[in-house]
Amino acid sequence: MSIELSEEIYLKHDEGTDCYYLFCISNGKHFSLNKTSYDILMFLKMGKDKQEIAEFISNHYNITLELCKKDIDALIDVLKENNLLTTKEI
Amino acid sequence: MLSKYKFAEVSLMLDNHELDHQNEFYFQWHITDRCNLRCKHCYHDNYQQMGLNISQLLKIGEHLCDAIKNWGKIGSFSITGGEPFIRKDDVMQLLDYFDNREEIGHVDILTNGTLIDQQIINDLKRYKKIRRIQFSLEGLEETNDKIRGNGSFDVITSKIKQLTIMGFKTSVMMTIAKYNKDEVIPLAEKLAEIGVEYFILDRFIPEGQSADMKKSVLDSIEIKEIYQKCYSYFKNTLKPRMLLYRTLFCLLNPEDKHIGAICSVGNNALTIMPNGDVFPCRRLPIKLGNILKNSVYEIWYTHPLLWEFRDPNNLKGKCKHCEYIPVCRGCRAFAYAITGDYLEADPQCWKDNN
Repeated sequence: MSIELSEEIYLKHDEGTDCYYLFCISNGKHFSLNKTSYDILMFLKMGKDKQEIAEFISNHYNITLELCKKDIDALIDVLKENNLLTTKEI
Repeated sequence: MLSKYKFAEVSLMLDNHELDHQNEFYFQWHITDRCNLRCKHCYHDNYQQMGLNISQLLKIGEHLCDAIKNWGKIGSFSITGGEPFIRKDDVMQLLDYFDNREEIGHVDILTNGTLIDQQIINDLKRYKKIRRIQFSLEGLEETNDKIRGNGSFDVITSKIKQLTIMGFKTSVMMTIAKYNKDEVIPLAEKLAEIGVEYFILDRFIPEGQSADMKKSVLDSIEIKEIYQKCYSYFKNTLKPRMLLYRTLFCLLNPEDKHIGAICSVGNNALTIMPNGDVFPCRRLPIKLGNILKNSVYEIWYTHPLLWEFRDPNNLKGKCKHCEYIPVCRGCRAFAYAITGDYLEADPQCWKDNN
């Protein structure tokens, strides 16, 4: 299964406040993120798959792959609930 | 050293508070470029465009109101031109629409006043969201008429009286420059006589057809003197009340929470032009997009220029390290008109002048 962020999603790191945001430019919703969720979403935007993202996060933060995958799934669920991504069966 | 891992958080923000410092969002909407006057200091340079048709205007109005609602904010509009009453039927249709949108707090109409007649006044009485009708005067009769045209002072003051009698609140904006700097208080006294509720002072910015009037721009010492006079006069004057929430005013008395204001650019306002182009501010004519092609969300969230404004670390010169950044940041439009750089220090700021 591949996961694609909607093209209407705009991710922003505001360096002035060091805040991370997700904006949906079609319906105006916006979300605050933390660094981890921002990084995951940036990877999704770049077309990385869940396994690649989990491996990067796991190495970067020195935590288990299982924990990373669990967190990514939780994040994906929130995005799905808000119609912010699409999934495709391959 | 590794960063500490945090669970991937995401939370819906129900309003825009983390991006904006106020609960109001303001649109200045120029529905036409056409105008029956040719004021010498005008920021327009094109008086030809009638603007979009009424169905396009209503569609835009709906989109902007929806955005305000989604953001959980209270919306305010200024409908202006050109001269908006050149399209009086369309003004009424927009007012009718705003009257039925609960997220709209109020609507002001910025007009030169010359086309207002009894029929327009009667029509305007129907709309409950109208807060004020705003006119412009540039001083007492002689000075005003040199700028706005012969006879305009008499016409405008008579329209103000007419509207006041009919129960409207009116305001007058004066754009201050070298040629009228000594007439601020005399004009205020005149406005008190004719029942004007609010007086607004704005700084002359040479752009549009007044781009070659740079010699009329006041220097920082002159601005300071005028602001000091106004602060002394208006803090004890109830009518007209001067709206002192403008950049630089905070320098006069940092303890007074009723004066000064952060520049609205990138903060809580946008300007819509007659063809749908969107500017950060009417006096800062940099196109951010076009509301017919780009949603207000796209413009507000993604335009890099707005993000530049939001981060005060980007400011330059003496604005960059100023302790009044939370309540001022200078006028970005003025900095742009004078220096060509909208992030430069406000050239009319008198703080730290030697």
